[in-house]
Amino acid sequence: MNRNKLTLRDYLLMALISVVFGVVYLLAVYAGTALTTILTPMGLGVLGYEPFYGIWYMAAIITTYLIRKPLVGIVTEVIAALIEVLLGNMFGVMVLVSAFIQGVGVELPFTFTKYENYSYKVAMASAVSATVLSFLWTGFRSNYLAMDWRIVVAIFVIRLLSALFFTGYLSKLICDKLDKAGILANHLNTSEVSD
Amino acid sequence: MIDSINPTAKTVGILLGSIILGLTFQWEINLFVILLCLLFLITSKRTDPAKLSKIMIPIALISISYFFTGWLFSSEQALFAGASDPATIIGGNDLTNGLNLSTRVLSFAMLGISYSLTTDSGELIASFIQQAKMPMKMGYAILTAINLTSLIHREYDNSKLALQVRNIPVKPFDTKPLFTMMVRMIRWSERLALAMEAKGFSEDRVMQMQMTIKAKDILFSVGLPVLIAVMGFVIL
Repeated sequence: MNRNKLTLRDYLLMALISVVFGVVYLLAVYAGTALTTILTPMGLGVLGYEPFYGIWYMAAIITTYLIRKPLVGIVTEVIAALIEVLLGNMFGVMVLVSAFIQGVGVELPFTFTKYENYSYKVAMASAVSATVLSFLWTGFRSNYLAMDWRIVVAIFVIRLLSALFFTGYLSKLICDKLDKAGILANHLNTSEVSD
Repeated sequence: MIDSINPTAKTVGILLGSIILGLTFQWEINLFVILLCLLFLITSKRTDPAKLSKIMIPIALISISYFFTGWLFSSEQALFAGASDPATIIGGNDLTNGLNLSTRVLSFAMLGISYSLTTDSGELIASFIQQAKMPMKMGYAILTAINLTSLIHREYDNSKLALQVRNIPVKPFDTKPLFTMMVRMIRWSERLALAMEAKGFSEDRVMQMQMTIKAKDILFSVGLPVLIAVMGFVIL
């Protein structure tokens, strides 16, 4: 495990990547809002943002892969949330809590591998744990107990599928391409990135 | 009204207030918080009415969507819990459940907006560094990224354009421009870090902006959660 302290370059990379994903998040918000508008009259508007939920975990998993030091996922999510808040995010300070929980979710499987395994298996596990923790948090925030159980199950399943695609598959694909392109200073061995 | 509150104290107050609000399940307390936040926003000199109305559109939509879900897809537990509510007599259990859910989301959002729109980014980071012991590197990395936001947006558009002029189609959520941006950000972070350190940036840096905690800041950070708790658990 790389126990070196986070450097200025690491923090800058986390912050800059958070802003890049801020652009992607904005696209997801537009798409989610459009979907929510369509689904609202049927009472299914709460599902509108769920297909894009995995996008919110992408920054954390990508920086964890690129920097490979403990706590990077959590710090990235918190930095991304702070940037969102300062740019006028509607959920303000609660985004910081959501971000911390999502960061813990993304980071957890990497902790078990001592930050030495960056395979698809770990990326998928990361997507699952981020989904479970964020689902518990949004369940508390939006009071899922007041909703029909079928809606709650639909929220979880759609969010999980989204996370598996965006966080588990797409993020890992981008990182592997970066690694192959020779951009990363600390190049990984084949055993570290494949199952 | 809350412009002059220390940002760390404001964060603590609104965060605790939001968590306590999360433990209550009545639309009356949600409505009280919404009105309180409106008061914060109206009395703030930092609130930009155009920005506020732009943010309110998706919030209103989300709130309406929760109303319909709560109304059309109530859980049995929610119907039982709302039986004694005065609104239930007028509109029935389902309607009260919808009202509870929609005002809950709206009240969280209003707390968030009254935090986001009344807090200055420079003051927030300075306060987090000085009062919340945020690492100097992290604080300045956030400020750097915020100041580079428009440039990063332009770079992202340019990387899409660069693909399009080569007749490579770019779909929404395409990874190709994202890959280009990742490469650029890795390079930028290295160069920026070098430039900042070359100018003498370190953890020992002295800050010109000095943030302090006054009595009114403590009053706000304690008072707001206590007020919500009293309203939610004692009065209503």
